[in-house]
Amino acid sequence: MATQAQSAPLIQGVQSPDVIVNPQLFYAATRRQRYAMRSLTSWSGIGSSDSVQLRQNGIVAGLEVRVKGTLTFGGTIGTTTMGYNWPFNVAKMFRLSANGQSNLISANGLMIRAAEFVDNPKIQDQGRSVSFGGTTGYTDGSLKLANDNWGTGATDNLFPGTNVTTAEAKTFDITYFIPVAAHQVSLIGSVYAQSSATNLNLEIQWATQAEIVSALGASATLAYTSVQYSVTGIVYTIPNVNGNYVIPDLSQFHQVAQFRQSGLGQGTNQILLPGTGVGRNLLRCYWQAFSSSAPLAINDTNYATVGWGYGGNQIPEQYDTGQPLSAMNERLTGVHLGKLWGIGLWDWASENALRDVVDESTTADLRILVGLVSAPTSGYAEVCQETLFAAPVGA
Amino acid sequence: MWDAQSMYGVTPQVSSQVLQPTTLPGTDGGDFGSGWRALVNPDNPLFWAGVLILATVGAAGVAGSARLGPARIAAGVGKS
Repeated sequence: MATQAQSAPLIQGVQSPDVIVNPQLFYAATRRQRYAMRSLTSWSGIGSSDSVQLRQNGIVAGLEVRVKGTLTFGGTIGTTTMGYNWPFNVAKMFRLSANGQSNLISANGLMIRAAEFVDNPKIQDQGRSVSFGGTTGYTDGSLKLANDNWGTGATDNLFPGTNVTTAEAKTFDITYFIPVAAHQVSLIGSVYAQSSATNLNLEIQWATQAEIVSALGASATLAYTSVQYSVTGIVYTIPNVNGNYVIPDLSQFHQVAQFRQSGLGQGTNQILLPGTGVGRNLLRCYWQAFSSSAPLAINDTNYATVGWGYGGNQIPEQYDTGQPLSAMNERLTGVHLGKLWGIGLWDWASENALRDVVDESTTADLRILVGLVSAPTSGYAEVCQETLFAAPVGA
Repeated sequence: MWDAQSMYGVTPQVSSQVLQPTTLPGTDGGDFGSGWRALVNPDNPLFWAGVLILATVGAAGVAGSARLGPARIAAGVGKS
């Protein structure tokens, strides 16, 4: 006989009718829905932000965001170079707040794309030739989907860290999957939206021109035309079974939160992870280190000691150089995260989360170790934590 | 089980997580099941028969103690 928990007047801090928490009943009876939270709409402009109020309906497990438009280069192109924020960080920051919790998602487009590749082994980037940092012909490690358009012109295309050779219009079209739930099968970490008391908001902060284009020729011009975005929600209905509303386990919030650590230097940089505490469990930690605004590939040339630790000197996992970490990441995720974008990953959720996730109540001073072989120029790191934490519920 | 505790080892903190039995959709609602749960099912005639027996025995117990009470008190006074 199945078991259930019943009557949760508050779900994720929101008043709700009496419901029954029973994942199996819920899965059998719910209906997956996919609909526009915001139809294709013109953005508010470069360096600005747009806010999308999500519909108060069902259980929100994910959001699909599409950004498309045209970058029109004019004048004399000169030395014009795309920055490493192109193309993913056109969406410089996604911020999702829900049911009183701000920054459930607070990460840039690249980290969101990396998280998708890590969590979804069905997608891959191999065989798609891209240029990166001025070098042509990379066929893996780009995190490019076949459906991505990174900027296509009649003469040449746009690539990260690569010169633009021709003044012309170049179209682009990028999609993102924002993981509201930590696990798209069980829906753990989903957001309860079936109440007029909920307040679900997605803010998209757009990059500035200086962040998109690292150099613009003295006589070159750049216009952003017909840039539009859309937001599609993946929402599960709350079914009524035998007279009772049934929901899955919504006791946890899923957070993907990014921060920048400046002041990196040569040697081992111990970067404390902020916001840790009792009731929080770390699923994954992504990071990139930058020198002269370019990501450092994860290899032996750039990296010495890499690891993570806590307490006085507890270091559960560590490599002496970067290459083994890059290889381990590829084995674990099926994608070469460290090759071009220089993304390092500590992943406690993909193999056996019950066994591996980091309980932050027992790991004070949780930190990652980023050992750099050489002193970076204006070095900084982008660090992204993926966490589960208890949602307010109960009496 | 697809819950946060079994998948991620997180501790449920809800007062609403009191586990109770339920009937899956599609199963026969007239089936009382088996074991002790069947005996305490209000739809089971044996449940009400048990309630009647317990009520009768319980009432007799209350009446007996009412009659025996004064005798105990009297015995106590006599000894002192």
